[in-house]
Amino acid sequence: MRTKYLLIFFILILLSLSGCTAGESPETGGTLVVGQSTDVEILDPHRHKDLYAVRVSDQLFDKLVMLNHQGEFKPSLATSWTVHDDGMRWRFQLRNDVVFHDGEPMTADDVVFSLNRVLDPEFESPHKGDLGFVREVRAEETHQVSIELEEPNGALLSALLNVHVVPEHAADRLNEQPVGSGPFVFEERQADERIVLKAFNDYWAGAPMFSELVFRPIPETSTRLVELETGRIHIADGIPGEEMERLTDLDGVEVASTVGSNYSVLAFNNERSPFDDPRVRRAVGKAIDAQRLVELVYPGTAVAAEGPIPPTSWAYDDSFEGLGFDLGAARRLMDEADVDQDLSVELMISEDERMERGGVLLKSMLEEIGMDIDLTALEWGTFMERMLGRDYDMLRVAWSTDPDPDALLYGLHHSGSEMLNFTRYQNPQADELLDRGRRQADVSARAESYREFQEIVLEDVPMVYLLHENQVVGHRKGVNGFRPHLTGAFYFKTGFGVNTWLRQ
Amino acid sequence: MTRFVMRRITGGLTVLLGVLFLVFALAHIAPGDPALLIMGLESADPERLADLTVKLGLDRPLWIQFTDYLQGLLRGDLGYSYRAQQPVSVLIFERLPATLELAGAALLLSLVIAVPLGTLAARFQRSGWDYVAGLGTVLGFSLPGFWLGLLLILTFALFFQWLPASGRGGSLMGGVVDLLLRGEFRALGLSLRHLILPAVTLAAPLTALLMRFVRNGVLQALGNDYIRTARAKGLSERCVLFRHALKNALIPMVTVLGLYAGRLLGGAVVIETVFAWPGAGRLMVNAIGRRDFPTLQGAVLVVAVAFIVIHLLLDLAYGWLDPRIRYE
Repeated sequence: MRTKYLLIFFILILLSLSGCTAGESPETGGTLVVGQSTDVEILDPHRHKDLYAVRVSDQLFDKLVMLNHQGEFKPSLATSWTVHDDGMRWRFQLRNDVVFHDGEPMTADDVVFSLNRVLDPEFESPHKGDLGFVREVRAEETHQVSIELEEPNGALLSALLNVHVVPEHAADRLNEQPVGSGPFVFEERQADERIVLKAFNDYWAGAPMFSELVFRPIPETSTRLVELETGRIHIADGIPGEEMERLTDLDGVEVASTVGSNYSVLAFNNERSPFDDPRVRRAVGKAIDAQRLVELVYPGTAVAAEGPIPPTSWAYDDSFEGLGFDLGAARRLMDEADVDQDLSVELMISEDERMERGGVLLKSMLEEIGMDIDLTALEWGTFMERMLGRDYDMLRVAWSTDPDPDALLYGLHHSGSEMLNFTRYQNPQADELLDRGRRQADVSARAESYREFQEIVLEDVPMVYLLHENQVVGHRKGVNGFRPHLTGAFYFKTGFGVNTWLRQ
Repeated sequence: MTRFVMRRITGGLTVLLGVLFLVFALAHIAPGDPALLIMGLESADPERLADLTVKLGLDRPLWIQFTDYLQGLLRGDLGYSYRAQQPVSVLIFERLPATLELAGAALLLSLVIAVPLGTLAARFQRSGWDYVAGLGTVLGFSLPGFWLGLLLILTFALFFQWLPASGRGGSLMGGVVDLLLRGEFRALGLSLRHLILPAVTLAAPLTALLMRFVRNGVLQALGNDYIRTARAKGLSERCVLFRHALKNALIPMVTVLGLYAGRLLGGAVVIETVFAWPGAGRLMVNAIGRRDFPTLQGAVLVVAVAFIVIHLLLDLAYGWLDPRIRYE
C-alpha cells in the first residue's frame, strides 16, 4: 500500500518537473523593447558617462573584463590577466575569436587604441579621470596587451569596466554608425524616439536569443508604466517605490531589483558652524532613523546603510555597525556641544520627488534635537554648483559610481580630492587608509584597509550614510533570465552566463 | 504691399535680435555652470572643469561670446550642442517634422471641431446645445494638458487598449506617400494611431478658445443689417449662417490662431513629455536643465522665426478676409 502511494507521489513529482522544463524551454527570436526615462544622445562609448547611454553601449561593445551579478570580475575580451613588477604592470591575454560587426577580427591593437583614445587629453573623454594612473598601454602580441601604471593600483580592473573596446578602423564614425564587437549590431537611431539594434550572429559568446532590441525614451513615469502594463515595452526603468506593490500584483509584470553599488548621504559642511563640531555631526547622525526613511520614502527600493560600502561590494563587512538611531544620545550630544538655542540650518536637496519627501522627513527628525531646518529644493545644475562650491550647511546627495571601493570612497573622503571632497573632511589617517587601499593589489588586504577606514569615518562622521538605493526595473513575465546589474546596467547576453530570452 | 512686408521683416529681425539677446542673457545670468554639468558629478575635477570651460569658450567675456554667436548665425551656423556633441541644426531639424506634424494635426482638429460647433452654438443661442458647447469650452480650456493627456492614456491605451500610449509611429508624410504610391494604408494607419491622443490633448484648449470666438463673432454678425437683407433676399439659412455671418466672424479667430501658434510649436513640451513625442519642445526644455545654451538658443530662435512668419502671414490673411483692410 505504502509503495503504491510513494509511486504515485514520484510520478506526480516527475510530471510536475517535466511540466516545468517544457514551459521553461528557451525560445529564440522576438523583439525586446526597453523603455528608459531618458533619451540616449551619444553612441560613441568614450564620449559619455551616463547610465542610459551605457545601457546601449554595453550591447554594442565589449570590455576587457566584466562584473557578474555577484560583483566578481569575469573574463570578457580578456581571458586572463596577471600582475607583474609589484603591481606596476598588468598583462591581459585576449580572446582570439572575436570579430567586430563589420567582420574584421579584434586584435591587441584595437584594445591599445581604445585605451589611448580615452587617455588622450585632446579627446576629453569623461573616463579619462578613471584611468589617470595609467602610464602606458602596449600590444605585446597579436592577442596580448600590457598596461603599465604610474603606481600600483588595485582599482584597475574596476576602471576598465568603463572602457569599451572599439575598432581602430571604424573609430571616426562611432557616434553616427557605431561598430563594436558586442552581442548586438546598430541598426538605426531616431532622436528622442528609438534606437534599434539587431542580434549579432557571430558574437564570440554565441548569438543572443532574441533577434531585435529596441530602446525607447519615455520620460513620463506613468506613461512608461502603462506601456509596460499593455506589453508594448518589455522592460521599464525608474520604478517609483509607491508603484512597486501595484506592479507586483499585475498579471503579466514582474519587478526585479538588485542592491545597487551606491550610497546616499546627508553631508555636512565640516568647515561651517555648527557642523565644524564633530559632536553636532554625531548628534545628527544618531537622530536619524534611516530605517524609517527607507520604509516611508523608499519602500522596497533601497536598504538602510551602516556605512558607505554597499552590501554588494567585496569590501562589505556585515559585522560593521553604523551610528545607529538613538534619540537620547543625540540630545545629550547636542547639550554637550552647547549649540545656539534657536539654531537654524539649511538642508539643501535637489528637485526630485523622493528627495523632497525624504527632506521633509529628515526635517521632522532633526527638529527632535532642537534643530530648525530650512529645506531648500534646487534644480540639479544650481544644486551641483552650490555643492561643489561648498556653499551649503547640510545637503542630501546620492553617490553612485564604479563598484570598486576606491571609486566609491576616495573622491568624497580624501583631503587631496579638491572638488569632490565638498564636505572638506580632513583626516590624515583616513587619507592614509584610502591611499593604501588604492595601492594594494590583494583583495583581502584592500578589504582590511577599507574596514579600518569605515571605523574612522564612523568616529568623525563627515556625513551620515543613509541608504543604498536598489536598481529596480519592471519587466514582462515573458522576459526570462534578466535582472538589472548592480551598476544599473542591462545585460542580455554575456560571456558569464547571462542569456535572456523572450517568450512570445 | 511690398513696403508693408519689408517693414514687417525688418521689424521681425529686430524682434529676433531682442529674443536672442534676452535668452542669452537669462541663460548666462541664471545659476548653474554648463561646464560643471557636462563634466558630471562623478568625474568632478578642477583641471577637467577648467579644460571644459576653455573648450566650450565659456571663459571669454559674455559680449564676445554673444557677438561670436551672432556671426555664426549670419553664416547659417546655429552652433554646437554642449551635451549631444552634434550641430544644433541637426538636433532641431531631426525633431521639427514631429513638432510640425503634431501642431498641424492639433490645428486642423480644432478648426474642424470649433468652427461648425461654434457657429451652431451661436445660431441656437441659449438652447441646450449652446450650454453643452459652453461647458465643453470651459472644460477644454481649463483642464491642464498633462492631466488630460494622462486621462486619455489611461482610458484609451490602458483600459480599452485601442491606441498606443506613447511614441511616434513613423512619419505622417511617409505614410501618405506610401498610401499614394503603393496603395498601402499600414504606415499611415500606424502614424495616425500614434498621433490621435497627443493631437487631441494639444487641440483641446485651442478648440475651446476658437469655439468661443466663433460663437461670439457669429452672434455679433447675426445682428447686422446685411444678415437681415440676406434673409430678406430669401437665401437659405445655411447660406446666411456660413457664407455671410461666419466669414465676418473669422477675423478675431485669425488673431487668436496667431497668438496661439507659438504655443502649438514651442509650448507643447508637457504633451510631448507625457506622450514621449519626439518633438522640439522637449529638446528646448531639456536644454535648459542641462545648461546646453547653444541648443536652447537655437530652439528658441527657430520657434521665434516661426512665430514671426506666422504673424506676417496672418496679417496678410486679414486683407484677404476683409477687403476693407489695405496695407500702405
